[in-house]
Amino acid sequence: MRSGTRGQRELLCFVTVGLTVAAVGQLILLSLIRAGWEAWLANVVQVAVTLQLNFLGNRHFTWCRRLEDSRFAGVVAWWRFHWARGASAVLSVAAFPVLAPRLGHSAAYWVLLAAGAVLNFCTDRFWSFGGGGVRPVARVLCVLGVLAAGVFVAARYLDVFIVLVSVFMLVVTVTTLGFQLYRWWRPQPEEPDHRDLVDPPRLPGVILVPMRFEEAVAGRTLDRLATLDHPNYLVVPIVDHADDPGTAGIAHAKAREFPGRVLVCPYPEDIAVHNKPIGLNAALEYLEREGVRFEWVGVADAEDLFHPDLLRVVDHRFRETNAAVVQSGVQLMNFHAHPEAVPRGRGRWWRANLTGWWRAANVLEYFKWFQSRLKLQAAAGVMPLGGNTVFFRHAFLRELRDRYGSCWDGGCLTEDCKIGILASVLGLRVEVIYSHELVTREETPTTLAGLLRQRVRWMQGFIQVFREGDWLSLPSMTQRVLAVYVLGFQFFQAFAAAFAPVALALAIWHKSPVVVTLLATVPLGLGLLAVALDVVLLRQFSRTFGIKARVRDYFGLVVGAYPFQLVLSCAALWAILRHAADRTDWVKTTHAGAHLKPAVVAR
Amino acid sequence: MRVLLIMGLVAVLAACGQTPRVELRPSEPAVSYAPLRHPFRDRQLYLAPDSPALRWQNANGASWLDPITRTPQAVWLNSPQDLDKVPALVSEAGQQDALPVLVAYYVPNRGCSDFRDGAPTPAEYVQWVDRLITLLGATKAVVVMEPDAIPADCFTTERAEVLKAAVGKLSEAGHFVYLDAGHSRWRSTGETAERLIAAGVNVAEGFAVNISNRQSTEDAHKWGRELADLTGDREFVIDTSRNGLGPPPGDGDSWCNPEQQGLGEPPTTKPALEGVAALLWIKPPGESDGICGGEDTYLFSPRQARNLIMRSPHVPPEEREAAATH
Amino acid sequence: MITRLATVPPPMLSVRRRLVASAREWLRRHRGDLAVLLPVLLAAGLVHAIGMSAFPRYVDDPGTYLSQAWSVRYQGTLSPYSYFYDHAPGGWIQIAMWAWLTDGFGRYDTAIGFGNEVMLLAKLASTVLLYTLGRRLGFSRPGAAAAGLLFALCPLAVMFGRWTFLDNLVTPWLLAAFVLALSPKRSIASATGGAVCFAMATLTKETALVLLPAFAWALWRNTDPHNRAHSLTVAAGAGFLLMAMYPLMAVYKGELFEGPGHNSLLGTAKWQLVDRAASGSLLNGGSVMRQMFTDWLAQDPVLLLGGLVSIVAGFLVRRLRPIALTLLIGWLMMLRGGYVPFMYVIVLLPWSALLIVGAIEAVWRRWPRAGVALAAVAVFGAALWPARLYPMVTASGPQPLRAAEQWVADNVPRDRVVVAHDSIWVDLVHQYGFQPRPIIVHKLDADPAVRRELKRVDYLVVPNWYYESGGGNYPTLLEARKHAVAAARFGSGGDGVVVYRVSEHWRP
Repeated sequence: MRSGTRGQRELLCFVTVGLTVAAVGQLILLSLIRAGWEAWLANVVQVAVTLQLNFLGNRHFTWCRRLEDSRFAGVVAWWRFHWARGASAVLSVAAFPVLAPRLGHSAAYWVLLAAGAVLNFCTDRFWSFGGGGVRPVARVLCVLGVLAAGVFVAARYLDVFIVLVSVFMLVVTVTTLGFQLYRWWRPQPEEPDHRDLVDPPRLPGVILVPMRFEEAVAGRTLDRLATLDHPNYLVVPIVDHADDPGTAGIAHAKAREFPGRVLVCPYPEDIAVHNKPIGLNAALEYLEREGVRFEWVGVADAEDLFHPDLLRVVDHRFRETNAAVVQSGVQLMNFHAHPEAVPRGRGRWWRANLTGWWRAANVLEYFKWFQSRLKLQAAAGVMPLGGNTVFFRHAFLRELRDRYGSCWDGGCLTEDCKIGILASVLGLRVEVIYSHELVTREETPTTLAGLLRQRVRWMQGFIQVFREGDWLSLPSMTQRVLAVYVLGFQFFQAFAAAFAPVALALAIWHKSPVVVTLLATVPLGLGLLAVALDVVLLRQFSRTFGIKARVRDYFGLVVGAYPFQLVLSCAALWAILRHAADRTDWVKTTHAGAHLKPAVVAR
Repeated sequence: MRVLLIMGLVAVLAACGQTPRVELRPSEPAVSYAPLRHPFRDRQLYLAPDSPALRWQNANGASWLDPITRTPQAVWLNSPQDLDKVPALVSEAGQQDALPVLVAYYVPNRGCSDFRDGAPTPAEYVQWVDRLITLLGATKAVVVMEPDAIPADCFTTERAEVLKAAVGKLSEAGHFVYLDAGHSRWRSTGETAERLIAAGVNVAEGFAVNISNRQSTEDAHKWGRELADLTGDREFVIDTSRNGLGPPPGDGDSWCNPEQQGLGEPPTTKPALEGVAALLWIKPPGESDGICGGEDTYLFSPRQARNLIMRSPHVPPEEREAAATH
Repeated sequence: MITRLATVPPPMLSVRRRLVASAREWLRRHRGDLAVLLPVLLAAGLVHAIGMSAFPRYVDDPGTYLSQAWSVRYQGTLSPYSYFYDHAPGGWIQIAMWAWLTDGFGRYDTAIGFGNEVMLLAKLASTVLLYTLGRRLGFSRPGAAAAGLLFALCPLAVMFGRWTFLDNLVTPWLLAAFVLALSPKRSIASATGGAVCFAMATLTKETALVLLPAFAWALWRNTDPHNRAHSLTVAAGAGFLLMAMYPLMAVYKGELFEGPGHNSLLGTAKWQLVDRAASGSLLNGGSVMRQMFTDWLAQDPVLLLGGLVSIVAGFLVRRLRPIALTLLIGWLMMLRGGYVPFMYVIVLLPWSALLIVGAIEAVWRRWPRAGVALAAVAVFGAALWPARLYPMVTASGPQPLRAAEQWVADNVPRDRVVVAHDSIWVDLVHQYGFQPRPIIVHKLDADPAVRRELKRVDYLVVPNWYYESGGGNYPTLLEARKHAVAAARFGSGGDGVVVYRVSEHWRP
């Protein structure tokens, strides 16, 4: 009852304010024109003034009760109000030419005015003056609404839309190609052979290994990590004793097996959330408390088998360049679909091949990312890092802790990306090592759904990093632009790849001018070029790593190229919706150990 | 970037300044045409008191020949001897107060027969014309110049020069010259216009169409109008002596004494056709076209005359009946 | 212990500062080349430009391309009439771009004058690229400059280079393609740039496609094993994509295949390749091809025959082989027996210049005396040129068509329907505002749409050769002349122009 009367009062106020302001606007318009102003200029002034009057009126009369103790009453409400009214104005301008021929001019005007009033009331009530706490569902609805409005406007001005989208896609595909070819841009020798390094490693360090439900691989990983070629380092498995006694047991067994080399660090018992950054932060504090002396900190995942020489190279690189971070290559290996990986039963071979078509594309993503893109980004000074086989100078981590309170951001889904951006913000040097012998070999996610979840997590993490805005403090404008590109890249690419054929089909269906259709063809053509390039790279990959690529792998790569991009697009959409819905729990990739077999064979 | 911007700006400004030049600055015309004198206006045509047809009519008491003998026709001057009848013609025309229409038909190499017909030399032709002018004296006549001379295959620049000289002399003497231009199924208007201009049509009064031929008046008018447009809007006359039924079917020799022919519209000096000065009977109807179609003469043939009258749509039915039954 | 961590300087400080710095660096490095090249350019430019409005006579194609460029610039269509895939449209789109940037059609009182300017720029660009290509083929600076001069001053090149032909626009693109393909950097960018330039050449005139083997060979040989696969894939992909725009355009317009009521790419291609009257083989004594070849030799035998001889030497010298293949393909096309246009010689000239100098330099290095002798022969041969060039640079007096155009502008009301030669069409439309637009003479009978719309014709302004030799192709023109009278005459003979006024009573 109470809320009913309040609603009625608000409605009344809203209408009164609206009508009054409209009358005032009319008055202003007429008097300005009479004073000899140009009509359009008078109208602009009128719109600007009435918008402010509207805002003030609604702010202080219609919604005053709701805003009494809201922290959203001021600038935020002003911005939201203008965004909402602007959007409704754009929609009405776009809709008028559609409705007018069907309803007649004046009918269309009144319909749109009424619809606009309802829309404005709703946006005022639930968004502009809604008191900040927009519920996740409403936010998702907002995202969908904006998308729908976008589709509507695009359909209205289809040719312009196709041109804009095509140019955008063109930029994205060209830069994608350019970035992924950076490594091969000019003929240059492979990286110097690590076997030529004669000087002994000197810097003490630790390797942190967060482990949770990793019984299948933990023992083997710790065995390898404990026997790397470096005189002075510690392997620190981070295990959760309460939740996961199995893995903890393996870790303790290895600690006993390699005394002075393996040191088990417990995951903090008092924190209910389990994620990687919290574990890493805790381990770092634990080590410092224990008085361990170390110059660098490496991060390994539970399934990572580092190359025995890796630490020597990293150590050398740290001393040689004084870099803050050294990122070494990680490489997915299993582009085949292995029948053994599929549950027994009929048509095992078929099932394996039909479900594994995306693996080659996934493998190549890593191949391109670590060889080309990371190097370019390191050179440009905008550097999202990988999650493992990454080594930090202790001094850098301490500086991060001094500035931000922790080293890895426990609230961020992609703390690795964020820490790289922070290194770039501090202007620190990041080194990238990619030598195919030294790469850490990993496996593709066990299933396509796993890949999807992994991407959703990454993309959502990138959104977080973007929203947090640390990149705004990058020193140069070029870097900031590049940061937007790097952080948004997965979304751009997902959009561009998925939309390229759609744009062309739209242009043909809509009978756009030939020039527009041709323009819409170019991104698609470049997409095909990217596929051809993937074939070349798969061949190179299979030669480099000595794993034979079969015809059906190439076939899967070519045929699966577009579906793979579609999966990424789905992931992008899902990530945006998840972000809008405030769901930030960890969508974790599981490991089955498939990469171990080819890795062992290749040895 | 800035350079591009400036260049673009210059281009835009220059493009705005660009307006096509549409005014005319005519140069002197290559050919200047003498003003038209409209000789036929308010004049009646001269009816010769003597002609082969009249003589035959009188000799045979053939009143059915009236549609031909009572109609004014042109008088052909084909040789130096023919000039001898000019003084009589002059005086009779004076008595009738009528406009005589003469046909000069004596150009060198007339008929393209290796100079066997017509004046032996250009000089003699000019003398012949001079003599004609002298004989005409103060009587101003319409002179239709040289049927077939211009469209003929043997037309040359020399012939054009001769004609030009003759036209010049006649016009200067105050006569009204119409150069024969051929007919609508012979040469194109473009080619004919070039030849007419070379032959001095600019000082002549105009040109004649359809002489001795049987193209319909409508076709002749259409063709002539086109030709007039190409020759400084000169006037023209149409020979309607025998075109009452239009061109006879077939081609080749069908022009020669065909079965299908009839008298055309009677001559008039007030034709209702744009650009046409007069409809004339230039070829005397009844004269045989040659030794063909059952004729063995070039002279008047009553059979031809009867045929022309009998089949003509322009002759009243009773006169046609009269011609048919006698 | 605090370790001092290394920092990276913020990259790419200011775009402008970096540009200025790199330009300065570039100038410093290329001082020597510039010192040699600039005089060559000056000579090339002067010989090309002086007298270019008076010589050579107007022919059909320049006017056609300029009218199409005008149409692109002012109407946004590929042709003032329906585009029938006579050539790929890249060439006149480039001309239109230049016109758009610089108001080309407004700056000159004749479109042909603007076309001449474009050709001058193309010639200068070609000369620069030829020099660069020579250097990349290992020529000495004087050698590369000599190649540039051979190309720029050859009477054939001056004469054919002045006409607004698509081939003259193909030349810089092809040279640029080879320059980039032979880039010492061997980067993906240079390979791709080369392929894109080659694709531009084919879009400018599709006949450039026959040189693909030579270009691909040059590109292949210059790539590094380290990035060969990537370079070639990207280059081939980008080049192919650009070239594909042409057939794709036809596909999108529904004009790829032949069909009733529309032009088609394949239909016209069939006509060009199969149905068009063949020129015969060069080896056949009485062929049109042989006649053209004789005409070319009459202008200048030195560069053509010198180039032919140098093909052999070119194949013996490793780095010259792709160039030799290019020229060889060019010569083989003349033996084939198909249709060869009379401006075909343009394709042969730059490669001949390169090979002659390449061969002489190769011989010079091994046997200096023989090299000197060969160079002397070449110089002696080129000594014939001034006599041929003299009339080209001293020609004066207006062209008959130009004079006729002036007469028409002065004497013909703007609402008359004029059938005009291609060369003056743009001027009548653009400078003098004829409305309805004049009809380009060869469209009068070839374009069904023109035939359909044709209600009347008032003036004919075409050179006499249309009535004399080309009569069979222009029945409507001939018919119109039968009803027309000469209004003004300019010049005489086949190139002379008679302005015919058609009777207003005649209907086509």
